[in-house]
Amino acid sequence: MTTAQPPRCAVLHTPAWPITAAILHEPETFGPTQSLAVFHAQRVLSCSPLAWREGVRPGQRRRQAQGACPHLVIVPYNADRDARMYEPVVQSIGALVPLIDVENPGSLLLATRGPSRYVGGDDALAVHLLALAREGLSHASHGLDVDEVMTAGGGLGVGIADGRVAATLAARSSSRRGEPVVIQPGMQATAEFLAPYAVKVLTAVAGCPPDLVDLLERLGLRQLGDIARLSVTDLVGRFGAIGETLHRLASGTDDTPPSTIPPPPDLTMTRVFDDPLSQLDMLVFAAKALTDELGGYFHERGQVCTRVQVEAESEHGESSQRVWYRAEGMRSSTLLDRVRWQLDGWINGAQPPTAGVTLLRVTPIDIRSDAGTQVGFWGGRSEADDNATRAITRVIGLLGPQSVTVASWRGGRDPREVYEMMCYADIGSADSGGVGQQLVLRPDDDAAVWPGSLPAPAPAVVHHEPLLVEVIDVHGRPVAVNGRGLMSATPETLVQRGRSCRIVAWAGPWPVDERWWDHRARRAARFQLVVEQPNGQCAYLAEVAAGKWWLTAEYA
Amino acid sequence: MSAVLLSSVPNSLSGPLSEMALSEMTLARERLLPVHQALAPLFGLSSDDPAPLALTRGHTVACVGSAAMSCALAVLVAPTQAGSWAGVVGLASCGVQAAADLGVALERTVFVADPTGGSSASGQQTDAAAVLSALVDGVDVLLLAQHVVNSLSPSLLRRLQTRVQSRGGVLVVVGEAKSLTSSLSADVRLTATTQQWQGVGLGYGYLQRRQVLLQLDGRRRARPTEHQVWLPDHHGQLSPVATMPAENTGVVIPLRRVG
Repeated sequence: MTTAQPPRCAVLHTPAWPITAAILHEPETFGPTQSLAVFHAQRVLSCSPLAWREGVRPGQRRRQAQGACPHLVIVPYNADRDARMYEPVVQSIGALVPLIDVENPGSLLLATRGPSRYVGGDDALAVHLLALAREGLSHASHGLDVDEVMTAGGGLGVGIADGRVAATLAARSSSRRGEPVVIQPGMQATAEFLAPYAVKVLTAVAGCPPDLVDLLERLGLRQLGDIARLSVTDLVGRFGAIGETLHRLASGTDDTPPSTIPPPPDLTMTRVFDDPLSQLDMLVFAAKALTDELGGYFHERGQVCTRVQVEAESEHGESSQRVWYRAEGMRSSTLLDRVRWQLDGWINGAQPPTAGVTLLRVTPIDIRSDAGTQVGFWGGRSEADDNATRAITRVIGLLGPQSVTVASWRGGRDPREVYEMMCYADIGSADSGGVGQQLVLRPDDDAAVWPGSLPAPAPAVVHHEPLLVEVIDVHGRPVAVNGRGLMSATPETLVQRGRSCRIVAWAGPWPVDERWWDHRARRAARFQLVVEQPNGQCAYLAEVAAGKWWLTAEYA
Repeated sequence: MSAVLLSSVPNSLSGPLSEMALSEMTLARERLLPVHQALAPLFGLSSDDPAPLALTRGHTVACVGSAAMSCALAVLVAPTQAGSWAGVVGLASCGVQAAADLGVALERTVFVADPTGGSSASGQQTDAAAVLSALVDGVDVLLLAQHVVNSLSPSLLRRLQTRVQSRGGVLVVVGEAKSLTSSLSADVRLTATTQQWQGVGLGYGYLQRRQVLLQLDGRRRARPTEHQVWLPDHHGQLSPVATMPAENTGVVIPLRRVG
């Protein structure tokens, strides 16, 4: 069996990057001299060296950690923050090496063949990488001492070795020692370096399942060297295909190349107008140049754009931002339609910009290869679906994107809330006919009933703006419901716009106390009222809130 | 969509004359849209058919009466389930949950804001005409609120109805009998009158089902037909009122209020 030479890799590693990111992000809250720990799902994700010295360990429960170190400062977990704060480091290193594989915030991997030759050897590269990372951090540190910040995050390590696993382990040991670790090339040197490591590290650096590592330990294979000494045949015989992988990892012949793909091209098309444009036609004409260029780009590569963000900004800083989706993909003309609808809706809408438009930006978000659309034979899209889609598109063009909505089930107690109306323009139509597939049209059959929701049947008319009415008792006094849900009298008459009708049947009160935890709090008592009207019985859903009666729905 | 062009023509029929004759041939079921099973007796059809074809394409159906909204939604059920699209125009207060419970296929139902914008300025009128004619081209069933119809000028309304006829859709107008504009000439008028709500008493129970008397009349109909239905029934759906066999009908003891 021939094994390919594993690619030589460099890894830059910060053990507790979330801590560093938190200090860089909120220097006034978290300081390098505090004992810090990041918790995720009630367990320690990473901790600063100070906390480590007190006995805090990753994987501990919150209570254990606080028991070990009572003055432990808890840093909220925020993956976005970690990634954002790591970006200066990535960019700084990107100045030297264009292809970087960021494994996770705090750890990045690069192939060293080219860069090593460029700077003159692996040792020089390691020093260079450290310097670049520090430079990147110093831009982001807002006057904090980079060394202090780095120490709080467990130091900065650089390891260069053959293969991903060896380089990662070298970087880990480098962050502890405080100097770069370079393992000489060659299979022998790599295997010697790996041999004393505990099998447990495979979980952290190679993603081995923990139960497999546990099994290996119970079999007496405690170090990577123990695994490497076994024959591949035996390992495969005992563990199956993963045995071969284990042997490769442990002997340092892991030949998985760093997954360094070139960064995606920046397709954001921006047009800045020196003379602000306030006429729609001129704007659309300007947008046509943008969308034509984008459409041409996609056409050349056999791609279509399925999701695009359109942004316009006026001279006074007002902006209109919107994401458009079309499952079949958009080319230049369909892209231009979206831009036109958005601009039309903005300029001729309820809140038009007070000045001319100065900036127009089109950013493709989802791009896929243009596989064409296959017209279904049985089922799937039908002619009726295509006709309807065309008609809806035309109506959106005439009335604006907000005007055509489809219903999506959301759940709730109030008939007004059970279905949410969503813009068709955001959803588009599905390949199988009908509106977008991501819509939930009705609750699952086994979904639990909303507590406090009204049983079927549902009202056929829902007043999104409730009608104010009066409900009075036999003596002509308004009926009130107190805080405990008790009524002052039996309702007799419903007075609506000066006309009174006799209440022939009623049920309630059913108290509703919703969202008491925030500003949307709502307390009300609901009733069903059946009144006698000249053309027959009418049933209403009424609500008493703050002493007033409202009709919220009608069982028309 | 109504004309069916047969592609495989027998040799003996080939020729310009036969092609013309075939291109104008329309199958009877192509001219009809299905209605809900429980509505079949109204149209003089058997209720055993799961999807009775009763709605003639190109017709205008006016739903009036105290249960007009439920009735109009019930008309949408069968066509949308059979793959037609429905457009609901100017009915922001339409109870979507009630529609879903009745069985309207929401994946083929779009809700369109009122194109007349509540005013009757001339600029708005052209907009409304363009919007409605675009919808007529695309959807099979167009449900219009009464105020949308009333705000259209008589000539525009007539043009709209002509377009519906040529495109083979169905126009459903929901409103009140007396306030519906006189320029609307409905082919079918469905009057839904609430007979009785059941399930709720004086301070107890909850609304469970409603008995509705549906009356259908219109042009080209000899006499009005009537049918009793539950609209909605216990599950929010439309079902026929079971007429009890004569031998089972005994003396009904009225319920008396206690406590």
